[in-house]
Amino acid sequence: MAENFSDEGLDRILTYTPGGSGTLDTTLFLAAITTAGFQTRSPDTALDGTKVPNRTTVWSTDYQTVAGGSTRGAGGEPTIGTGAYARKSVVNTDWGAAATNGSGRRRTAAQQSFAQSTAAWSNQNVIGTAIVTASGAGSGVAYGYANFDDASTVAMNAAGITLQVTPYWQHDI
Amino acid sequence: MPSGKVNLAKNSVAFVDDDRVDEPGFYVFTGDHDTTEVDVQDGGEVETDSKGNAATDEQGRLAFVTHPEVVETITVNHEVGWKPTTRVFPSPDGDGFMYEIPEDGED
Repeated sequence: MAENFSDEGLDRILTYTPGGSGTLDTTLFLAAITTAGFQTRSPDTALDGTKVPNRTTVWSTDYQTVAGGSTRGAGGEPTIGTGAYARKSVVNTDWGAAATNGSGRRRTAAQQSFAQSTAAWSNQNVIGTAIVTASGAGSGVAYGYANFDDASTVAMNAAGITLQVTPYWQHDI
Repeated sequence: MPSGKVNLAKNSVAFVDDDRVDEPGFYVFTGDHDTTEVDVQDGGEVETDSKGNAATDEQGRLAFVTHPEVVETITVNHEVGWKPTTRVFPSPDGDGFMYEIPEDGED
């Protein structure tokens, strides 16, 4: 049996998620994820530059607010307000037009800069970002989680550091 | 106009640098609320390869999870139509945000 989406169909989906007049979320937010988090609901696999929270993670409870060591998850986002960490608001007009990439269609956003740190973040080793629907802790959902393309870990361990990422959103056929 | 530190238990602050605001900076977001009920699943059973390692797809994702079970239903709070409103500033002590520009510098 064969099945696949079409490019024109994917482009229509991409007008809703994110960007476009009919989008569910006119603003999304980038949140940092760190090595303080865990990959699975049972905290047995710590996150690193090649691991992100798995598919059954529930952002508002498991990942963002539940302390590490719990069977519920991790608590791996830096504390909002410590060292000037806050989620980066991404307005829907930041997302570029859909273009073919590999086996799918991709919208890439303008480069996003978190605010420059004023001190070390509470969880300092950043291994990627989540695209989430809410500005505040304990709310919303995460559409997904991603490591950095180079599998690096960024140390937000002092004042004067600016974390920059270029998020993209892709649906495969 | 509120003063002092922002109560982050009651207020959401995010960083904004687009044309919704006059100047890049930290802003309190406000708007409406909504809730949805979400079934929370456990991790299910993860398939393993011949060496006992968790089976993943070509991108390292744990794609082969079977028999996940709903362990509870939770209420998720949503921000609906939230927008940046009041600008705030990092606290000089590195802990939280203030409604006024700190005396020892801006953000």
